[in-house]
Amino acid sequence: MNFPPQNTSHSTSPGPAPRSCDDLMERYLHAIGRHLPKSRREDILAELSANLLAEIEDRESDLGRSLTAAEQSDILKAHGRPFLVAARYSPQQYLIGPNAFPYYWLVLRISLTLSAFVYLLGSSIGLAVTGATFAAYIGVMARLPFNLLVTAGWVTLTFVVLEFWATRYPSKSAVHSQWKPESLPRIDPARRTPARVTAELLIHFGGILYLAAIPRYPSLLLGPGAGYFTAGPLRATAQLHAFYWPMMALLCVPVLLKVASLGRTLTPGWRLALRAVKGAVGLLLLVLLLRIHDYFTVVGSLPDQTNYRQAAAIFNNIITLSLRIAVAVCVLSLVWEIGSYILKGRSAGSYPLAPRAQG
Amino acid sequence: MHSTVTTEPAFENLRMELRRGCLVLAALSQLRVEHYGYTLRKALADQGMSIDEGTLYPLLRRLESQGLLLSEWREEDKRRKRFYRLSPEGKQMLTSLLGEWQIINESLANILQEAHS
Repeated sequence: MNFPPQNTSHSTSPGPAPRSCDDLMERYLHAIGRHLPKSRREDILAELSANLLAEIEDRESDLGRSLTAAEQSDILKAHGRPFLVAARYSPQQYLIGPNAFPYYWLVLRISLTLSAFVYLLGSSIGLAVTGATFAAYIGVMARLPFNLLVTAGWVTLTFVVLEFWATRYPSKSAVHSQWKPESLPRIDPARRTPARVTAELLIHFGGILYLAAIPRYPSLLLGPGAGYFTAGPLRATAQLHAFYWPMMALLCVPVLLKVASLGRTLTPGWRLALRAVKGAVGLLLLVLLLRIHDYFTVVGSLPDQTNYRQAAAIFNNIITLSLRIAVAVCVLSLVWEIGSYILKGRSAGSYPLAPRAQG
Repeated sequence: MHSTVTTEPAFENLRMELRRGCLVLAALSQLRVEHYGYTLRKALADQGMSIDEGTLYPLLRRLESQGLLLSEWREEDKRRKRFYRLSPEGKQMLTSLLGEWQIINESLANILQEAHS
């Protein structure tokens, strides 16, 4: 640590002349120097020292006597905490400045949403494939906050570096001035808020997670009856098992579409197309399920399986009927969507503007 | 209610904001004559513009790094001190800022006059 030169023996360095009773000020300057950049430390401390000594001498001249230790202490106290005094000599006083902060906040929110989605989806698929336990699912959820913290850390670090660069090269980083009013998105009254999109994503994801967990935990679907079901000879058919993974993949399509449309303003046509894709995916799932016919069958070699066979037939009929109703509802919903779009046209809402003056 | 408003932190923040822009102008204006840190602070305070030393001394460094001030270490009263004065660029900048100040002052005077009438 280099102290400010306190005597004139430093021929090459600037600095004030020695003075008795400087202990407190030396400690003060030493404390400031600890937080100053090495290249400028000696120069800044020498100047501060000269200014402080001048102030002390000025006060002594007014009073006609030497200052007491308490009076010297008051002068140093008024000058400010060493750490803060040193900080004022830094060229940059903040990690992310007011110009960059709105961008930072926007990117942070989008990054956290995407990070949570990718982490949960990836982990769930991995767990479903490996047949993990329920505790493993809980573990995945418990690690989510840490995952989000890491994401937030990287985003923040990136913006700190960008801010540092922007402070050094302001002419190369005037991003905020490079925009055109014409590039603003069209007014879209039906646009969903980020909170709503996030909630929808979470609900979608929860649904997929739920379906992924059912083969391992039938009680999620059948409740307490699952015990009776698994103890008996009734089992899902091979066709239903074969259908499971394609169904899971198809269920991911609407979620991926939603993620892809995050932060974008979609035209009514695009929105209809997205809904149509989602509706078509749902319809396809139902139709494929409907083609299976036999969802449950009786296995094993129990002596009397008549009752179980009847139960399986009833299950299969109920499921087929339910699926037919679901297909009808799905088709009607799709027709309603398209009809509404055609009838309403592409009229977009607008904010009320102040009326123009007449004449 | 009006008597208490000046003690509120909001007033203090606005007051600081109002003064902040004037500090550079005041410091540059005063440095048409050479000063070192402490005497500059005293000179400004004597004219009613007291500036916290923690603000003024780093400000002088910043203005120097922007090329608006020149500095020189010199001995005075047996002590070496860093003296500042306006650079040629600083003089031009001061002229421009004073012109801007004049415009703001006149505009504000008109606005305040309208508000009173």
